[in-house]
Amino acid sequence: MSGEIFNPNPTVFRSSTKSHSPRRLLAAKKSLWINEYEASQLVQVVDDEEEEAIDQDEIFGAPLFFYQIGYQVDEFPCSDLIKNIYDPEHPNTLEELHVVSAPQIDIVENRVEVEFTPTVPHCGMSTLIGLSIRVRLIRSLPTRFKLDIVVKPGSHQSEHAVNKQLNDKERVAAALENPALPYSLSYAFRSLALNVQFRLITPQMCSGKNLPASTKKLRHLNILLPTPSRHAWP
Amino acid sequence: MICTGHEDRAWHIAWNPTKSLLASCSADKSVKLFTYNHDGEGNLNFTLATSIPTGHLKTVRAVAWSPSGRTLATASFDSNIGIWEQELDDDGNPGEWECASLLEGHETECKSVAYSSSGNLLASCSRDKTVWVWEVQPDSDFECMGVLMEHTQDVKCVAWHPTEEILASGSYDDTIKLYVDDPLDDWFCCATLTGHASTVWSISWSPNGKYLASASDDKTVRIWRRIGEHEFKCVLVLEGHERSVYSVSWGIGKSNQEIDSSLGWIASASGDGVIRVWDLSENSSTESMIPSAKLIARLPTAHGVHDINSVVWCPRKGHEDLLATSGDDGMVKVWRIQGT
Repeated sequence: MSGEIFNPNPTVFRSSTKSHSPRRLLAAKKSLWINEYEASQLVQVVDDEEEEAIDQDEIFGAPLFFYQIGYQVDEFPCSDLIKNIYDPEHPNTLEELHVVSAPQIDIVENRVEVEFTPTVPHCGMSTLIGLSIRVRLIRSLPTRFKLDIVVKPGSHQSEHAVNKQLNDKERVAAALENPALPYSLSYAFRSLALNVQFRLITPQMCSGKNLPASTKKLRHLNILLPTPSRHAWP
Repeated sequence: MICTGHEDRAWHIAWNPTKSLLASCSADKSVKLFTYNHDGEGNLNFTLATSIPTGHLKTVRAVAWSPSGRTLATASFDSNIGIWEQELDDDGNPGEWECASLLEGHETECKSVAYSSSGNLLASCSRDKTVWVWEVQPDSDFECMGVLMEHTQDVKCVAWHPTEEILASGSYDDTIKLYVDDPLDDWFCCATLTGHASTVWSISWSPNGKYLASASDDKTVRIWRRIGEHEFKCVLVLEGHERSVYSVSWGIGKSNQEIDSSLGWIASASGDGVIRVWDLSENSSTESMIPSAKLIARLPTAHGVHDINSVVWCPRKGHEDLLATSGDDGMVKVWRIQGT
């Protein structure tokens, strides 16, 4: 990789979290991008739709169930999946640079499409950013999800080439065997040690209506998932 | 029928043309060989015969048997081609599979390898955009006969014509190229087939050699008809897959072998997890160039939620209805297509 900086002065935006607007919540519901607060809001929504008692047995059995419907109850603490990935050439996260945002993540059944916006149209780091997103999702999501990672239409001069490379599983597999790549990725993922929350909202959960009865326990989400801990990661 | 799995993504499989052996390769860098035999009740039993660690430093992407069935070639992301032969022990019994030769020359990941029908030539391709043609010489010696630098991108697959020395290659540049040997000169590209809208992942010749099938990232399988010595035309597009089609195989099939118009069966496998099987036949009544294709089988979730990377018909007599597949779940599976 050359030492050239493709965008020496990126615009850095403040993290846009904890919004109360219903529209924002809607976006959050559809996304892999959700924080504690929004999750609790979402759970509240589900709560409002259906009230049902929950007993200890249900709580006990819940983690496996969460896994089955799409939650990854990881033995390692994971963070929000994408927003805290670091940009390869700036000390900022993809969220802070507005490279990815919640509405750019689309989940339809088992297909997850993530669109990202390179900071400049000639950004030579785009494939590395896209690869970071893909690898993060491959490692975190249940294997049934098919991933499509694309740059925002019109945002990159080599849009077609970048998209093609990012979605060629053979090229991705070969890249992951490249000894230099794990280093780049560990750089991109360096924040993960400090962020322990992990949320994945499935379409079924978002609607709240088509859920099997046992799903009602979702409102206890915050209790069931691992407690954040700065010490959990060595 | 499910054979044992690999520890990582199973990329490719190859049926031995002469023996009851099925080879598979994987990102776990190993090659597994399965044997199969009838249990006396009409069922085939598959058992793991051996696992070859290969010594490749990276993923083993593809495997190919020589027509004699005695030699196995492996293509690896470590940019080398391995040639494997079974040693004979002191009593003359077959023993371990040993690396008889390592073909170096490609600069980056090798993606595919194939023996010509005579077994005299071997082709390999790589992300370095080249296709190499090697002459197979005695004592596991190989001489490079040509380096074909026709594609503008990563070359994904190579496939030899079933009887003639014509080589086809498919690429990330969306094209298929065909090559022949000029007796007075070198190997050269004699045709370029364009039509696919994205990467060509896999190519298979029809058993009679008059057609070529190609599988693409554009979710289609295209059928090309040979209309001149070095001239091909796309005559049919098979649609239906919802994600990249990673593999296509054209076998003799079993339903209409006695009918002249039968072209055999095409199987395709995709990232959508579905295997599709088409029965192809020529329209003998009309002068039409276009063969007809009838979907005779559709196997969804063949490897559960996982992508299917490879699908291959068994070339052995009596087993024309056997189909092997490999998937991202590391599994190798064998399917029998029931009569239609």
